[in-house]
Amino acid sequence: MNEQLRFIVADTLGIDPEAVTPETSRDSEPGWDSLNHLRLITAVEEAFGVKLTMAEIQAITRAAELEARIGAAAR
Amino acid sequence: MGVAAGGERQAGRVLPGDRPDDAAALRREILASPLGTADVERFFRRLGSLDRRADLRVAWLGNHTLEPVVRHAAVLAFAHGVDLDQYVGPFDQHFQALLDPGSALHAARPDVVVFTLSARLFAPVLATGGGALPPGARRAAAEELLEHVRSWVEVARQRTDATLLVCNFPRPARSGRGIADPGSAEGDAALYGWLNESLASSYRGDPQVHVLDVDGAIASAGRTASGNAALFHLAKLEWHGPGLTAAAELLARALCALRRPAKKCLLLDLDNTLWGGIVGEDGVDGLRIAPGDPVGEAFLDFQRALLDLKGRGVLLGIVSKNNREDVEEAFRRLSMPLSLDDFAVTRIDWQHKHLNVESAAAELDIGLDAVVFADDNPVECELVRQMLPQVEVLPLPPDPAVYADLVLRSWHFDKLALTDEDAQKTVQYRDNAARRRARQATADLASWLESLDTTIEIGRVRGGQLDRLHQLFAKTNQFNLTTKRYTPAELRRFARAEEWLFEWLRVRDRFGDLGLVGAWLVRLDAYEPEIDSFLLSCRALGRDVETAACNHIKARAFEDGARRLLGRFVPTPKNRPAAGFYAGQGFSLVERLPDGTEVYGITSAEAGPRPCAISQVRIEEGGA
Repeated sequence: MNEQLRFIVADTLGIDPEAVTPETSRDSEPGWDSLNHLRLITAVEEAFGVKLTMAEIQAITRAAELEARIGAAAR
Repeated sequence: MGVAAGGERQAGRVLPGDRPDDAAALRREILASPLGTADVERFFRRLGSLDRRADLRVAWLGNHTLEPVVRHAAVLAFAHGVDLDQYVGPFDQHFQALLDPGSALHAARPDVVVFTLSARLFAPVLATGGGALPPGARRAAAEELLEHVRSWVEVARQRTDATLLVCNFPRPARSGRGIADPGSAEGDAALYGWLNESLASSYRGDPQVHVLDVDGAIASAGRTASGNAALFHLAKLEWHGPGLTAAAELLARALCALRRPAKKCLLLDLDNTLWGGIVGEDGVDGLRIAPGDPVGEAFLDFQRALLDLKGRGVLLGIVSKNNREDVEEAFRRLSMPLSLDDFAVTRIDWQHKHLNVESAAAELDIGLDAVVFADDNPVECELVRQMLPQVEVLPLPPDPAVYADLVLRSWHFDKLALTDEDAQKTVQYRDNAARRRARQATADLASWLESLDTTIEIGRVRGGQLDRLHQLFAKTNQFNLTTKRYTPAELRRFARAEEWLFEWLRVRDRFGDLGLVGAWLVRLDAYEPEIDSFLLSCRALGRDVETAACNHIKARAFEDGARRLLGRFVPTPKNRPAAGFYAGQGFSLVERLPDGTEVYGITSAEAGPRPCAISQVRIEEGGA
């Protein structure tokens, strides 16, 4: 998994970076509430210079989906 | 995606992996960080691992999503030495939170309430759609918004003593009228200009309410980059990206300014700081400080910015390695914004700078922690930093183009409101220097005191001068018997409470007006009243003002037949000058507490007025 993304997920959800996997999801993480989702999206947009649409922001529920979305920008 | 319900206490959460932080190290790390969203979250969490002091309790109310700005402001304020204990009210329930006495807002006992409304969430036509409406419709919506804020402020005044920070309204990043916007009386430029000026003018000079220019902050950051339409629609997030950062910084500065005093003095180098070049080498005619020369213009701009600081009450001083005659010639012959008279203190010689910084502070009678030192020479900066760690050092980079921005954007000199006293500061300190010279000319102290023709005026605090009084409580270190740093909200409560005698003191003499230089708080009691706070600015010391004030307090405290008047001296590293005060006024020591506090008392029989050099005391019953 992209290291920078791993730390962003950890920082914004308040979890240990080691515990972040592609399967980390809104269902598995109690800290991934609507406010932290907002923070996570903002942090990802800042870090990778991408701009997510409303539909994407609503659809993303797993770390793997975020990683796929930033795909090109992260490499 | 729903908007979070709010109504939560904001506190950092500690994770098992977090090691306890050292506050000073964390401060440095925050100041060096770009503070992106993830950084703010990480730092905010780490704040939770610290032993927190909670310097200021802040409640946030509004109709848009505030959690991101709240955390960002907390992290910034912490880095600047103020620890916030914050509460975020439930979304769009700013009236209910005030009106319900059992609300979590009241339970949080805030010192400050931040209030911010999104204009477009209040009325969509304030952003878009107004063009299709009949003339007057947008203006009517703006008037309704203004009325809503004003009535909230009036309810808040009745329900809380907290200081109210009211955010103004950022103009939208694009106008419904396109590039024709300024041509229309109801375009965004006209409408938001009117709205924000009406809001600001409603509270000018109001000690409880301060309007914050969020519009200006977001404009400086860039309006387009500061909005994200997707996140606005999904999460009601108004402030985003650089605008969020700018709003957080503005709010953190305002909150810090409420809690701790601004620096009092800026000591400046001369060569390549106030002008381009070195006067001793290039000669007066070789200095670059004139229009037409870009480098000279940058220094002119810096000098004008320094005049702005002087207008805010910052004392300017010179600490420069030079021959005094060269410098005097430069100020005499060159046409510059600053003249030597603008400086409250000058040290122009070949002494080490740290020694001169120390002696300049001593001459002004201010603490080193109230001093900022600015120099373009990194070696001098490092020397002062090492030798005088209490002094804030402002290293000036090689490019003079940025100097004016650097001092005007600095947090060091922040005050939420400027008082008339501020504009007179330099004159007052210079008058004091004249007094000291007169003292040297008069051998006998008693006749010198008499020759000053000092008169004092005392009045009950009614709320009019609370800004200045808060400055006094926040800044007075030396002649301060208990050094209690009351917040503006607390001071307002004292001013209203009948059981407290809260009075101010003003001093004049033949050299000028020293202004409002003292205050005291006495808890009145039919049996045993007690002096809770007694403070005098060092400008007023050494002329029996304290005796005249104490005579007055005794008379008031015993007028209802009290048996004994109590007072405490709480020693601090700085208030040695006040140590002998009570003994000198005829009080006897009642008790010495384990923490070093001394409790004094005087009975009504012993409490006759002490002789003092000030015969003219005016009591202002109407208050300030």
